Amino acid sequence: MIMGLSHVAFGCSDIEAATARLIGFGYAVRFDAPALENHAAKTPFLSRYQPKHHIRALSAEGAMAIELLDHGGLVGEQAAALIPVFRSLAPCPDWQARALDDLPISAEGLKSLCNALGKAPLAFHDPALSMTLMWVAATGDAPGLHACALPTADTGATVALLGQLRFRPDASGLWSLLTPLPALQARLIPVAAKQAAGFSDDPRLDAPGCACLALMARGTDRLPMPDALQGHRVSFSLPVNGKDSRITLAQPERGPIIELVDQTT
Amino acid sequence: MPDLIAAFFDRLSRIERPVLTDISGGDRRDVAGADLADHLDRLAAMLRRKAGACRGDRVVAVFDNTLESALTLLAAMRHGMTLALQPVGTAPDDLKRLQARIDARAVINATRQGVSGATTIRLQDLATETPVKPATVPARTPFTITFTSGSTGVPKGIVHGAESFLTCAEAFNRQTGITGHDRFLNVMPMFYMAGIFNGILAPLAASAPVVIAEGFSTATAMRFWPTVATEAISALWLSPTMLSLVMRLDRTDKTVPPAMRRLFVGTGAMTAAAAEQFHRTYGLPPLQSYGLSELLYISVDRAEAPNFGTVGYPLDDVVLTCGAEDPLSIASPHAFLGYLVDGALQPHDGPFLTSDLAQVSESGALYVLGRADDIILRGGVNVNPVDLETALAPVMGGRPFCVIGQRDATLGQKVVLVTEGPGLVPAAFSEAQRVIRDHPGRAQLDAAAHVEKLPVGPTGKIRRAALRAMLAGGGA
Repeated sequence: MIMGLSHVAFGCSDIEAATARLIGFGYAVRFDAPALENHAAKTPFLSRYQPKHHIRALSAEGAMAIELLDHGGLVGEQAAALIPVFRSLAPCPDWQARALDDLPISAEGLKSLCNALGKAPLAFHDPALSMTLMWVAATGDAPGLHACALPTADTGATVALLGQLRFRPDASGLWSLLTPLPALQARLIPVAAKQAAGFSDDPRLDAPGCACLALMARGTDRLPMPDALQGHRVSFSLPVNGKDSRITLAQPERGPIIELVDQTT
Repeated sequence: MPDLIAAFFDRLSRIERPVLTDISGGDRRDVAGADLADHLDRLAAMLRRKAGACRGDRVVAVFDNTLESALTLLAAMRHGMTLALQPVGTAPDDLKRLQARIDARAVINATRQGVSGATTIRLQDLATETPVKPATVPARTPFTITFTSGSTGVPKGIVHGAESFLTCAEAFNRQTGITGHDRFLNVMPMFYMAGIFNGILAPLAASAPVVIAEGFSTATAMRFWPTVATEAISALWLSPTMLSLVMRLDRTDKTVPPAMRRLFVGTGAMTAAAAEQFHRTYGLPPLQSYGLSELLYISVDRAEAPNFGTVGYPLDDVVLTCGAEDPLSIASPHAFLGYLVDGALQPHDGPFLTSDLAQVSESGALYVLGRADDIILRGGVNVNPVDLETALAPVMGGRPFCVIGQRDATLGQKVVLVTEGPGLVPAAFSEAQRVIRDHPGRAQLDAAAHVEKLPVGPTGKIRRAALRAMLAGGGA
């Protein structure tokens, strides 16, 4: 049973620089685990397995929660699975402008994106977060990670996946979770994909960008898994932030790695 | 007794769609039935951590029409806590006094307004709480403490267990045909019995979703029907005052939205004339009910064959006893646990003697004739003020008014017509006197008085005892 968003995972190689960037967007550190056991079951989801890794969870009111993952270095190209859309009063001064066409989103997908966001975003490369992302101007809204675009070559399959994960669409094409708790809210925009240089369709937890969407779940040890997560999947137990948790990692046929975080204490 | 509370939440947990929707603020907020238990168990964790409140504790809870209030109510039910409900705007000192009087663990605030000294319930904080697993709540565990108006003395705390709400809701839903296909709008004030029982617990007991809207007011009356239409509401509760405002302020084409099928009226007496006018205008019969804070629902009218002027037919297993001179006595399986007196529960047992004079017709319909303590004894003749008000309504032109008795040296009590705002012109009062003279019985109107504002309860019902006290103190 999916309860809400746990976090969007950002791969990074300089966790302090990435943290400073997010603090600039109003985020605060929720917890920090510098030498957390990296369960061996995660090996298939990584390019290069390390026995320990560093995770740091950050949250900001009105924005999607983020977890920074440092697996000892970034490997390969940016994950095309999720492209973050940040919101703030102005773009960061050190961001490098990119064309929207550089993203793995087709022209049709960009139209859907603009429709869901209510405006056209701008694209930038962020050296602190080591990824290319999108940005929209905040008009009185909370700054931070507002939504993620979900490029897909099979919109029908992606929509089915989101439905099984208990996301619901609004009229504009923005999919969100049915929760009144802002901290558990996630906003996703499925968009038609295209191949783009510098982006990989094979998401890895130690790749730049966002390869993984983590959701809070209950009863993952006894309730049936959504059909879309029935394929490649591993589960293991791990204390996270002092709470025993059952972690399930699943790689659907398309899209990001889905992590289910089930706190058992 | 089976574990009614666990069964209630188990039924809701099977519902994937929203069972609570809050449209009272700027943001629309939904809670799916499947997620409800998780939210309530997190809220229980928050109450324990921030307010020190655990199972068996009493808590003073400031409520308004918000999702936070609904979730706090349900969390208390699921985790065996007792809530003493207070309206938003209650002075912090009064809350503290109440906390001391009932030996409550904490004061919590489930409203959007700040309350000094209270622990605020914020949904955004629930995300970081670890859910507390609920234990079985023993039968007859106190769940709510609501207070009488206090217009006739010190307010009394009425203590209910969850079972009385759940069994009464089941009987009501069965009699009125309310099911999980219905969708309720709750505009009743949620610090008050009608707001938590009629508006939240009873619909949810039928697995019917509830849309929580801002408490009813003149401002919200203007957008009442559009809200009913937009939210595809099929059932709701109004007080007679609210019903009257809905009619008077309606600027739509008087077409009831297609989903709407049950309009229940409670917390006060609706005149037969008002019910008929509403029915004629909208084609939907307003269904009068009768209930008491101590006993919950007693009776409700039938949608298929409404009997305006009555308060409907008693629920199953509710036994009524009344005579021409004796107030109504009621034996109900849904009765309260007792009154809270000096912080201790004074258990209630047996039939409950009301202050209402009533009759039961041959068909079984219940007529409430008025409160025995409101009856005016004028020159040896009993005068029922509700009866006079019904007769006067057509000539009062929608103006708020009330008939009360005041002490009189010659008559014992005189009959006084009290209006709100400026006093009646002599011709209008003469016309009112003529109506009463022509009315069956031997009543007469002796005097007119006026007050700036008639004292009313949370649902608009006039507080006669408070009005009598006002006039006796020279408030006119």
